Amino acid sequence: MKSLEDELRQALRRKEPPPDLAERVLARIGQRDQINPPATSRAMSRVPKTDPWSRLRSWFWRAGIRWALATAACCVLIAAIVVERQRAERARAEVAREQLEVALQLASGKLNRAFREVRRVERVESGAPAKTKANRRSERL
Amino acid sequence: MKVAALEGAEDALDRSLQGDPAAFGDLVREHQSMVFSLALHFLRDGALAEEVAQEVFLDLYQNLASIESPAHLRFWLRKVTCHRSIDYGRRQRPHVSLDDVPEAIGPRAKDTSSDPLLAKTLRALVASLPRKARMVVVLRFQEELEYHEIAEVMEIPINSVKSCMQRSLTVLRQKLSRCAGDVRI
Repeated sequence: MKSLEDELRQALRRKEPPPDLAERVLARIGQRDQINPPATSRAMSRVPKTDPWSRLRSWFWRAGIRWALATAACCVLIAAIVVERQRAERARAEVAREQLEVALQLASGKLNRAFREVRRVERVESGAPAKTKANRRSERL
Repeated sequence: MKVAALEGAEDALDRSLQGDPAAFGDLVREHQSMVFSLALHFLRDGALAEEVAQEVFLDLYQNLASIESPAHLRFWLRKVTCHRSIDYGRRQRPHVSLDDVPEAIGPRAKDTSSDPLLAKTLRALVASLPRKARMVVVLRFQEELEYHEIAEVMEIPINSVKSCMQRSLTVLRQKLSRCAGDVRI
């Protein structure tokens, strides 16, 4: 009598694959290589994995790429922030300019009215007749 | 003896990396039983398991440059086989042909004192488990992996592996108790 675990070990023993599995795999690799040679074998012929100098160089190369990507990402981020700030500043300046124009228009109108009132009061005090439309017409004639 | 085998495996891997097809054939022959059996016990379909095994070895050939050692190779093969089998299992309904396949020739195949009918029942019960639980059971009892190794291969937390295993064993015990009364539960 065995435990369930032992029975499972017996039931799930490794099975032997079909005898020509390796040959079929190699044949498929051969077919694939004829169409499209694998990059791995070419790469490995250039850089043997056992060479420590090559490993170190490839590590630095990978690290360099990582650093370059990180730096580029930082630059893009900073540029985006700067551009966004400039855009916001321009928008604020535009709003301020419009407000100033409105304020100047209002102030100008009020000053004109005040100036006209002062002139009228001066004329009244000096005894000159008020410049009505009829008076101005008679002066011109 | 073990050191010599390890050196031989390293040598075959190095020669494969240098583009020697015969060495790659040796690698396939060395690991084909593991890869095929994992797929077979999971899918319960010999033809499909062979297809998975071929795909896995083709994938290995394409990714040979990333393999660092024989241990890494075994880990990589288990991982890829596991994920491919789960993918195939999602796509296709299994049909039983496991019992037509011969046992592996090797040290683990010598102990054949088990009841073949019980083994067949157990394989059917394992096949009825959910996919993840089934793969956990297959990796545990076919490959005799530890929980942390199964977690690494399947890329799941170790606690999930433990709970999966406990649930699976409970379910298998319950189902088996209805089928076979002679197993100690």
